[in-house]
Formats: sequence, C-alpha cells, structure tokens
Amino acid sequence: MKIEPMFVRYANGQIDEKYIINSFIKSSDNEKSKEIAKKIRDEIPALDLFKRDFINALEDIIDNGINNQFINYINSYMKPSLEEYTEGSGASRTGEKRWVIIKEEGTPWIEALLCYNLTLFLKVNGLQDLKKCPVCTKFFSHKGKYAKYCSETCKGQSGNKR
Amino acid sequence: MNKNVVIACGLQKAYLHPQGTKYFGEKSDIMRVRIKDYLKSLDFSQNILYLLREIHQTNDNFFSNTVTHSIVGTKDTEIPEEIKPYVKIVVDVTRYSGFYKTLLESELHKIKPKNIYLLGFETHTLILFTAEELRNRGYKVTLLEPLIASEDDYLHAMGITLMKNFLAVDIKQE
Repeated sequence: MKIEPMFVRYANGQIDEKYIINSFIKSSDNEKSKEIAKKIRDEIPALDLFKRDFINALEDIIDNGINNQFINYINSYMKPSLEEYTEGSGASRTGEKRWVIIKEEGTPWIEALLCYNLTLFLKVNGLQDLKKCPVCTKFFSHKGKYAKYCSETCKGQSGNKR
Repeated sequence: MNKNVVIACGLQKAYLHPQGTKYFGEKSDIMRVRIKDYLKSLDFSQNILYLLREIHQTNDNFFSNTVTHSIVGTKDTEIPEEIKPYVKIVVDVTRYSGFYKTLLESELHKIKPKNIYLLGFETHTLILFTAEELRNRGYKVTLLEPLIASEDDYLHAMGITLMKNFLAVDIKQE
C-alpha cells in the first residue's frame, strides 16, 4: 500500500515532531541545517496549537479549495524558515530533485517542513486526492479522487450505519 | 529565560511610503523615523519581532466598505527597505485581528513570551483587535504609544482609551 505523505501522517497523529526532526537530520546533506535540527531535538517546542490550526487548514482546503488565506498561512511558515533548491529538468518532474535547507535558528522550521511537504503534494497530485474519511475522520490521499472512505473497513462500517 | 515579543502592525508601504494608499503625510514620516530608530535599538537576542502585514482581496465581503488599500500584488503590501533588515517573520493578515487564520497564536503558545509590545498602524483596527485577542489569551500587553498611529486622530484616541481602560493594556509613552 502506498505510504501517506508526512503531513497526512502528522495530521493523523501517526508521527510526531520528533519523527519529523529525525527524518530531516537523516535525509539532509546540509551541515548547518542538521546542526540546527539536532539542537532542538531534545527540547521540542509545544506545537499542539500548530497541529490544531494545520488540521483546520487541511479541512478548509478539502471543503472549500485553496484560497489566499491558506497560501498566506503556509507562506508565513515557509518563507522565513526554508530555502528550496532544485536539480534536474525543469520541463519534467521525472528525475527532478528538490530539497530544502533551514535558513536560520529560531524560525518555525518544523512547521515549515510540514507545510513544504503539503505544497509538494499539492504541486504533484493536486487537491483532488486529499480526503478526510467521514467514518474514522483520518486524512488520506492514496485512494484516488473518487474515494470517499480511507479503507474497506470504514466503507463497511459506513454501510452498517445506514 | 522567556523572550519578549514585538508585534509590528502594518509596517508596509501603504502607510509608510509617500505613494502608499494610506500614507498620512507628516504623521507617517515621523512614524517611519521613530520606528526605524526603535528597531535599530531593539535587542534581538531578547525580543522576537513579528511583522503583521495587511493584505486584502478586493472581493473579501467581510468588510462593509470596499477595500481600498493593501490589495494583494500592489506596492502597498511591500515592506520598506529600511524596515526589511529587522524583519524575520512576516504574518500576512486579511482581517482586523492578527490571529485570524495566521500562525500568530501557535507561535506565541510556543514562545510563551514574558511581555508583548505592540506598535504600528492603525490603532483602532489591527492594533486594537489584535490586543483584544492577546488579552483574551492572558498575555501581558504593552502599547508603545509614540509608535502607533491612525489616520483619524479621534479613532486613534478611542483605540488607546479602549485598550487602556477596557483591555488593561499598559501604555508606554516613552
């Protein structure tokens, strides 16, 4: 089964901030970014309100589409925190490599990584595949644009309720 | 030790540039000099600055009047060159409150600031409504009076009175 993107797993409570930091340290080639990430690893800031707002933002775009308030919201995190680099063909996404570095300490870069992950998803897949299951209330993106439920189990439970 | 947070409202060309739609003439010029001096003297190891930038859509039907300034994509929304070096985080706001669909609440929750200072434009809109949200969440708020302004002097005075007498905001006059 296709693994859900990081932002979906975070919103569903399947991964936490520590997982995001460790994944970034593991995958980044930029020493300065790694140092910044390592410094915060043992004292992760309280991101519960961010998580609440992020989930609200996801629900909002699923229901109403992408609007300027959403763009402002994610840009406020990404612009001060991350610098994006690309390598490869601009004409095709095949073989294109994208990565980010942390601009500086003290910026909301953990939140920005999640926003960046979301924007990459939207860039590649569009909004149509991102859904929220009406039964278990979890977000999912792996079932295609016509799917309503995240799994056969939830689909079955929905049928039982009728 | 917890840091202070400085919330600078509307430090953008709409208010500070002579061609800005909300430029107040001499009042804006004085504010520009004072704010620049303040930012220059600010100890950024002890203070975190957030710039709230107004950015509006012409079709936002929230507003009773037609939105005439800080329209998305116009020069009004640009940050003046002399302010830019001090600004790390820009929060784009679409309503009178800096909390509406922005990162401000979660950032403050994360930082747990000792004190929050407010400055900028305009006293009776972005500053007043953001101050109310801050006080509702129990933050200690200080208004830097020489560094705030409204186009209309009556509304400016009313904003200060409301914040001082009804929201228990401290007013710093120097």
